[in-house]
Amino acid sequence: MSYDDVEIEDMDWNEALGAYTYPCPCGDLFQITKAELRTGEEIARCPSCSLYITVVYNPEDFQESKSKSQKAPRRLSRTDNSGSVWYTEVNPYNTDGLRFMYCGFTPSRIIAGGVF
Amino acid sequence: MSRSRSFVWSWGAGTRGQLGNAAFADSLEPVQLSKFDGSEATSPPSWHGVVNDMACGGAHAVAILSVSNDGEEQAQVMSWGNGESGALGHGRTDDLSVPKVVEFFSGIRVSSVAAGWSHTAFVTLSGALYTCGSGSFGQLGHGDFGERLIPFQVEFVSSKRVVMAACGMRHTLVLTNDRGTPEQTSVFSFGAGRRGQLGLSRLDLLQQEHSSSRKLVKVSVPKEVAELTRRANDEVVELVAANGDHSAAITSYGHLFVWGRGFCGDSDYFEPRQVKNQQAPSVPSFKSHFCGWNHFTYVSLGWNHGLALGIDGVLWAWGSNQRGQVGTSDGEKPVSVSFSSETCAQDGDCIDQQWPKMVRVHGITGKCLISSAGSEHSAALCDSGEVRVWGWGEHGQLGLGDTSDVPLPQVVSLPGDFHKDSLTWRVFCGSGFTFVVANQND
Repeated sequence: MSYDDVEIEDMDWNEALGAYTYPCPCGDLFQITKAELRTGEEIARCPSCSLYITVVYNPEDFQESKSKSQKAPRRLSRTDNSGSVWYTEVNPYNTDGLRFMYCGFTPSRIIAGGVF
Repeated sequence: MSRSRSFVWSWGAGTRGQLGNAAFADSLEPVQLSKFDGSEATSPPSWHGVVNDMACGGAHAVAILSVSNDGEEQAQVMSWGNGESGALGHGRTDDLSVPKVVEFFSGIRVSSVAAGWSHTAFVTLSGALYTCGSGSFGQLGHGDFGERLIPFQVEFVSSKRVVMAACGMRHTLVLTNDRGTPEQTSVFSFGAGRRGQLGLSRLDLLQQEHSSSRKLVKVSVPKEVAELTRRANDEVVELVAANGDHSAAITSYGHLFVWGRGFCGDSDYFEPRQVKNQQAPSVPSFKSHFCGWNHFTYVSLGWNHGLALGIDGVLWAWGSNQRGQVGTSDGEKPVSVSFSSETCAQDGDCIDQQWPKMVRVHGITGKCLISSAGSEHSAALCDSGEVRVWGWGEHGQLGLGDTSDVPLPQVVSLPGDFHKDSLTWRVFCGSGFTFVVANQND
């Protein structure tokens, strides 16, 4: 039985393993590669134990990359109550459709950011 | 000169060195690490001194030791295990199978520690909070999502006196009091908040950075859990606990609050809610705010279950029992928790209250003194001097010599030459491993 259902946004991309990972209760990591996601695989296994999780994701996000023009950063901005401007753009380093969001008074003064 | 010493045993998952026994392998049985003799250092493993506090995380551990050097007591912070994100605080990312002194804290007195999946929190005697390790969900509280390989002070709570910290998988809780007024406590939270583990209302979370329609919520700046700060009648929070995506607190009235990911598939709780014990008899409360037997002294959380110790020494559990971690004879039947929708009546009895479904952990003889929940296993110490373990056993985290799950508490036998009656015992469960510490003060 699947230990848990985990959404892909809750998983970490691990460059060294070449896989998306999520903590396993044994102390190791559940792992699934982009290649597996492309084939529609939804089980991420832990190399150290018998447990596995079901990864919840949109398979379309992992199909072969679209044309270059679609990969160009697309920026949206909005201003919140405090006057800070939030910028959201498609992360150009990632073909998975994940977006990069940062907050700053101007785009050149980034005070917080991250892939989500 | 005091001849105090600590005895330390570890067992369970060990491939990242988290057992501190100079090996990178699982251990199915308890191994005594050293005699912890305060007066003399032992050659490897480099354990010496008296353990004052300890915390076990996903695959790393950290301990505060008192070490006697030429008759002078010195405090040391040591860490070992998975160093991947810098959670060990040594400025490097390799795994360590032998405890190593965190040099950063030479000259800084650390009073308590907490460990999450891959981050660590240190609270100093003067009330400062330091964190290191992975910050990808904001769990370090520095206002960013980067990792720290050495401890950094959390400036956002520097105006408060930090009393203790608790680390969940990817979030952190901090208990503070206003300097000089210990009767006014606050709880702050930061890190991953999608399952409600930060105790902030959904409205608060929507105003945070990185919230969006994609639901992933990260908070990198400590936020006050208002529900726990504004308690009536000088009721203050005395203890916070976290693990997995769960959080809990106990107040000076012994009231237990739980929030975060729902147990057994229940919906998540975004704000702290008081847990009431359904099993307790509906006796009239003898005074306002004292309601039945719902008084707890300690709480410990796993990834899918929780343990709470009643003031009468009875150990209660709730949550998933899939691997026996709840410790009842109900087999795999899940035990759901329900929360009272309102607080206790000021006067009168509690018959009409909706009690949660806690179950008494079976097979504990005598009073339970302290308990600890790992990700999917549990351990408890009884006044009979026994260490009992139950739950998931695949990596030997029960220390019973095999890898089976155990649904009812079993006594684990600790090797070594000691008189258990003269020792003060503590138990610390990491995700898939267990530490027992026994302190002796001659």
